[in-house]
Amino acid sequence: MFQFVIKRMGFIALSLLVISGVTFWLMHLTPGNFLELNVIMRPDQLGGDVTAIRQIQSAFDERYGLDKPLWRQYVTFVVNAVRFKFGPSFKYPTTNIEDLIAKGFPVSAEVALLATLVALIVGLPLGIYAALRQNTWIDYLITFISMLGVVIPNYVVAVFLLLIFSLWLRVLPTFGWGHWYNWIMPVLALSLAPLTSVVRYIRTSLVETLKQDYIRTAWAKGGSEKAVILGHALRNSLIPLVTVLGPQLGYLMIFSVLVERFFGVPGLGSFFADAALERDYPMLVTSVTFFAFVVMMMNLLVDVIYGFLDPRVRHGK
Amino acid sequence: MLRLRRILVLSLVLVSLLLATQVVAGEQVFRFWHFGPIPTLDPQYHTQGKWLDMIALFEGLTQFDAKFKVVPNIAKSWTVSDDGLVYTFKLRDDVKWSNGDKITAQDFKYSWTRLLDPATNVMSVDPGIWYIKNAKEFSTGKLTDAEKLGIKVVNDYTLEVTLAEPAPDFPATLALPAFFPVPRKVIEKYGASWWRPENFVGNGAFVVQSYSPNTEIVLVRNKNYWGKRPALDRVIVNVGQGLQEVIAYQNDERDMALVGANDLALAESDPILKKELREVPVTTTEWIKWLHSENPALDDVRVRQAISMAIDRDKIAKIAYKGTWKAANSLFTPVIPGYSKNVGLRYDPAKAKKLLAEAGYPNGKGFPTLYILTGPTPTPGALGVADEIQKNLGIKVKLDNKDWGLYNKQAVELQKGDWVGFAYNAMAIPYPDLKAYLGAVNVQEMISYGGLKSADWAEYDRLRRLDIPAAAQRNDDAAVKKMEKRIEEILTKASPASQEFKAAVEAAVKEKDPAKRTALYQKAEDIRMKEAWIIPLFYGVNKWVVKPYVKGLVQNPFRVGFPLYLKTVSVAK
Repeated sequence: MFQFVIKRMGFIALSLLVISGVTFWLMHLTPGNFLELNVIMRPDQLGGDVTAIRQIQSAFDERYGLDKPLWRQYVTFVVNAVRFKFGPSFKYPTTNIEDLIAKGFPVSAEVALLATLVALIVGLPLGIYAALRQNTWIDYLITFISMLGVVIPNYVVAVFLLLIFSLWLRVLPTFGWGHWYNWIMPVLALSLAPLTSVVRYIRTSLVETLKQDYIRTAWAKGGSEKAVILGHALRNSLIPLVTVLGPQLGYLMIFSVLVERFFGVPGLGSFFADAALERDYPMLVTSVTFFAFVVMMMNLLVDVIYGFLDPRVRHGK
Repeated sequence: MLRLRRILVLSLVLVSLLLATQVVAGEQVFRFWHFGPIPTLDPQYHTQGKWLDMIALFEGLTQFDAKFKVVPNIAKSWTVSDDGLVYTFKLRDDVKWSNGDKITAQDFKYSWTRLLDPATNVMSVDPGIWYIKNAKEFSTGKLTDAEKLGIKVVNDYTLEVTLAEPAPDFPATLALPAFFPVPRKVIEKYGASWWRPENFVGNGAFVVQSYSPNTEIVLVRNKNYWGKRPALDRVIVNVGQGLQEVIAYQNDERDMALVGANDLALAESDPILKKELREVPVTTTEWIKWLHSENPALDDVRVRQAISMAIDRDKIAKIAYKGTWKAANSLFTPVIPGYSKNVGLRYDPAKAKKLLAEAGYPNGKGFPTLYILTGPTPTPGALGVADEIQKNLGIKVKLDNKDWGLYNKQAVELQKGDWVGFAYNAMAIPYPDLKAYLGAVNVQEMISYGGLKSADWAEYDRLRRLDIPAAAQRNDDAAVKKMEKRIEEILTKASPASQEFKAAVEAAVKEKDPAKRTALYQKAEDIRMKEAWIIPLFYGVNKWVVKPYVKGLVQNPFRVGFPLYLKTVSVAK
């Protein structure tokens, strides 16, 4: 197992190198630059003095090392990334990106974890219930509702939550952070998608498992309903769920941009959302690399958990 | 089921109680939303932060009063030399930083030098910073001796500023964030993080208590504030997208909220909101700007005039913008003194058709497709304008929407092939002076731009933007001189109207009599509008809802309608 993890970490490092390199190259191919896009520097603002504009641009380039050849900029980035030092971004000129990550990532991660937890707490019983009452109206209802979760994006859910809790019931603030009740709406909005996955995967795989021979044997042995379903069937049905839930948790941590911005959650999403549009190079390449890192780590984690759930994996089969 | 409902109701009550306890009794708290994110509160960086600084955290030598006239602030008075170049400011001697230290002329010298220093490279670009003598040379590294800047400390409370050219609007620009003093001792101690709540020192009526760049910033009253004690104890600034402001306002989380076009119908139908709704005319103007092209179809002034006269701006403002914008006749907005209704062209489709026919395109026949370059999401106004031109002139009009990076590139270039048309954009000026609309544009730039035919402009632009800087980098002075001479030759070909424009603007800069100065600027603007280099479209009119208990609030038309200064605001519930 230890060897396996080490090997995978090596692959992750290699992938990160490729991903950041491609991002770096692509973003420098795109026209447009930060100073112009933020109307910091436009010909009409400097009285049309073209020389002044060029010089300000070159001072800016020097400050951020943009005057160096691309490959050197990239090497600098990689070296700094290994030390987890990214320096200030264009948009946040007085704050280092690593500090933004250190502040924002725990918030994003906690919200994502909580959302997944809610999804499990609500989704597991629903999925099990639907599987046991297979092909009855209650099964159809649960399946239908979980289908809704697939098609309704979380920001639409966010709007509905806002209407219910802020406009009609008037119990929750629309925006803000720092109190426990600020968590309710973002977590609920984000939990719908994983909830849907939980219900569907648990239902399908439990239905499959219940048809297996060993389950029939367990019934034949005279096992109680609780023992057969929770003890024998559920454990094996969890494997596909873990497969989807791991990466989904990773996605929730980083792709909750819209919900985070909507409710004012000070997570990572809000920092990274505009980076591409505004050509904030340091922020853009850092965020893409970091996101890739998080998703790959979640996948690794899933594989490790597999080992515990399925002895065949653990013993290197 | 009943038990479940009871639990639900109980928890709702609990939550509402918690919400209610956020505000301490007797404390005056004001809550509003500001554009986000706020990446820094250093007023010398060009971010949203500098505008929050102006609202509450820092103050300059001058300020604006409720009518947007420039009034003394830290400078209690000033004199100007006869040639309009030397300003001598007398400073108040009772002004303090929030840590209790006194503010002297030295602080201003340090701050403005920091602003212009290429080594710190903080780059705020409020108008006015280039007025200071040698500012451009120093900030671009041509001059390294800061003592040669036109900033001189005569004594602790007298500051003498020498300008590069006369600028009657200089005192007004001093009220803008770039000119705010910054605390030297704190900056030298904490470096880039000097403005964070734990280190913050400012000179405004409030100081920062907590900071989160895209969620919430809390300000509290500055106990060492030198001026009149502000009524508010605490200010909660919500920093975000501003998507749900009206709901937040209804939910009693804000004391004022901007009502976007999408929320307007809701606000106008709600009995409470309707009463609290107010209009704030702002200085944002939307326009289209002529882009020179290899195809010279728009070089004919009659064609451009026809296009300007073919747009029914009132109709678009009413239908597409639902009244959040109003028809414009010039880039000067009605908000500022000196605006005139009589400047520019009027909507007149019959005359527009006639002009187009005279130019050789009867009913639009033979005219190439007209493009309107816009950002990634065209505004309703852009769609309306395209529609009007097409309908009234018979020209085929297409919107060319581009990512802003591509837009910025294309909008300054010579257009290739048969791409003829305009670039659509908006601008807002940050302070009340006609020059901000005209003088921010370099005169030579403007006449070359408006007065030259496309082919001449292309040569002018290539020399100025590429060839001369390249030669300067090689230190080839002879080549630079030769090309500069060539530019002068090209400029003699500029149209008579553009020469008149130039004369009017240059006279206005030197004019000391305010009335005559205004008249000169109006004349220049009239020429620019009638030549249709830039075609004005709409003036912004923002709608806000403000709670009736908010008193003393002045909404800043130069900044969307956000509060001008929070020190005048009180909340009497």
